Amino acid sequence: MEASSNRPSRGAILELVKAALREKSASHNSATAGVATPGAPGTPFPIMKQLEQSATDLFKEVLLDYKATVRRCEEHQIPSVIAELFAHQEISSAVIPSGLDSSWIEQIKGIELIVDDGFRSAGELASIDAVITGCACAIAETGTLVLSCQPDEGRRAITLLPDFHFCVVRSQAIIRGVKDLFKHVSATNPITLISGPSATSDIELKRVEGVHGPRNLFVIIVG
Amino acid sequence: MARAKTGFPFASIEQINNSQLRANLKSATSAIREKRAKVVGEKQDWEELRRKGERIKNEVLASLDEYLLELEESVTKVGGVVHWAADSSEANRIILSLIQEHGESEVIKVKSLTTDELHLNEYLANHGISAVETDLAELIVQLAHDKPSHILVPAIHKSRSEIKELFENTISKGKVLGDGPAELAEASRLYLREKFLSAKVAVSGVNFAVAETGTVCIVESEGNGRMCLTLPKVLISVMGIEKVLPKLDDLAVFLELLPRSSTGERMNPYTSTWTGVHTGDGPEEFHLVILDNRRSHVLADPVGRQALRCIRCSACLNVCPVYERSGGHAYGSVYPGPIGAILSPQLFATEASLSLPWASTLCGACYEVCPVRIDIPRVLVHLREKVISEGYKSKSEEVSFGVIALILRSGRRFELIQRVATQIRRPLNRVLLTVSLPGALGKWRAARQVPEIPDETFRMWWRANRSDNGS
Repeated sequence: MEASSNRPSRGAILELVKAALREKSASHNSATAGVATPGAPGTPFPIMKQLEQSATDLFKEVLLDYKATVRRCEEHQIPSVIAELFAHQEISSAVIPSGLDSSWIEQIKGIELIVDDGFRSAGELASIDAVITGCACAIAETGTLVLSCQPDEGRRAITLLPDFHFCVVRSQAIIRGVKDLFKHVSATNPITLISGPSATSDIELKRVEGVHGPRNLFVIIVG
Repeated sequence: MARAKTGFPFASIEQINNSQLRANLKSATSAIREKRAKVVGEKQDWEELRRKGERIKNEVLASLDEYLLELEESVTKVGGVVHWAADSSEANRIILSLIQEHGESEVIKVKSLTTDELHLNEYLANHGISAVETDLAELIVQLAHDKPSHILVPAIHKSRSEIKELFENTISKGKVLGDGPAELAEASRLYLREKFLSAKVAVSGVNFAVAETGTVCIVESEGNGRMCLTLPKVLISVMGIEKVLPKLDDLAVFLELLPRSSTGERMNPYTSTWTGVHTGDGPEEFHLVILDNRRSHVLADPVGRQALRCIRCSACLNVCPVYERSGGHAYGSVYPGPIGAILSPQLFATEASLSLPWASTLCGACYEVCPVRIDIPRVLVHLREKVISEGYKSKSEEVSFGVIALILRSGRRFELIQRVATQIRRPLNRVLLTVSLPGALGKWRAARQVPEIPDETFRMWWRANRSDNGS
């Protein structure tokens, strides 16, 4: 259908681009060559204490800065930590991806737990209060959770519509910086990077935590 | 040809006389400036990152046709449909027909400067389709029938009480709202949630598109982007030809550069990437519209083409002394501020936009903060030269610069003129500061604060106080 309508423009655009580059290719680098660089700031960067910190400690610190709730525990404590976090919130229902370790939710009491079958509509998901997931990896420097739709992370909609997101992160899955992100996660699946609860500063630049995505973020660091 | 009586010098006068706007802008730009400086200071390899960003973008531009073809192939392979649009009217037609194919009369939108450039919302409205902006600031601007004034925070010119009144008359009709930002954000959350759950088609821009894999990336804060990218059945994304990146690892570089430069955060709350259509997760149809709209023309200018490296972070707006006083509306373009001053005249070449290369003091602060090291001052001077040589001359400017050149060419002449000026400073100050001046001089002064002529010149002061020190 579209082929007929935009074939001509495809060729025309590519021809224009080629012509633009051919004409001036000799002076391509002139745009930046020979100009004094005012870029480098005069004062040295402050020595970051980040370098001395372990990736896990740094990750936790940055998360707290985002006003996320953070708990650190050992593997066997995951079920009790999740149950304790749930007990302090007004949550009556939670959705979990089908590949989530079912022992994690064993101790949660008095809450309707729904395993996502992949077919629930957005409207149904929006009426569920909370979601519990794992994550593919996390980035310490930026306090980022990386979701890539693995079986214990679920499809994108389940971590978007509920208002409370509980995410379990293993400390060995925490990488230091953004630089190596795509060495740890495949982009074949959709990737969602989450760095703190959703937020806006659109009104008089005052930060409001929580707009459309989950307004409450709980991170459980294991190990 | 004389320069038209439109453009920045005229549009800025009203803005700079609005003291409320100036106060808003000043506190907003300085707040973001400080946040940026703090998080940029945390990255010891910031300069290296900037150079990497510059290098990657230069590499893309140097072989742009090849990268576009590679992107088309990758996107098609993963189930996306690629469309090519030579200009805004073709892009609008493509988007309209895709929406009509699905029989929809309402679409949801992620904040996108490129669709602003297309005037897509107006175009769709003229064809009976309403496009609902879902970014809070864009929604405010849309409901007020206003125009964005800042790339990052488009409603920065609106106060909370104005927004409260606006919401009470539109999306929260019949309700009484408080004017706290949290309560106003909540009102928009309620209104938009319904839209997110019912919309069938979403339209977005593109922050980055990776040629090698066909992966497309959007960065945002509120979660409205995730809603639009995940819930509707059909996703239409529009990108300028310059948004392509070679590889995924290149994307990682820009995910470091963009949030720190833009919002002054280590990372924005949400970044989404998708690679074509994913069964059981997200849209069933993905359309990528690749837009030229004179970008290939910008590419043909070896000095001006570096403007195409821009990743729309808006750091240059926040450090610009001219932007801080004039605000975004004075630029008369979807791309305001220093980057707008070099991008708009090249992309649009309207008479008004040709005045923009002069909307700068050439102080260079924009170059220092630019995450892809666009030498904006250099391009400004280049464009000034180009605009003048293409015949946009002003007689009065030519005469006055002739006189100034005559004076500045000789130190003795300069001193003489200064001395005369201080001698007659009282009547001269009265004329310069209070009496209304005719013609070009009057217009020039209307937008500027002219300093008073002092009692003595620097040279006079030096002679009286320091000359005996032997220097």
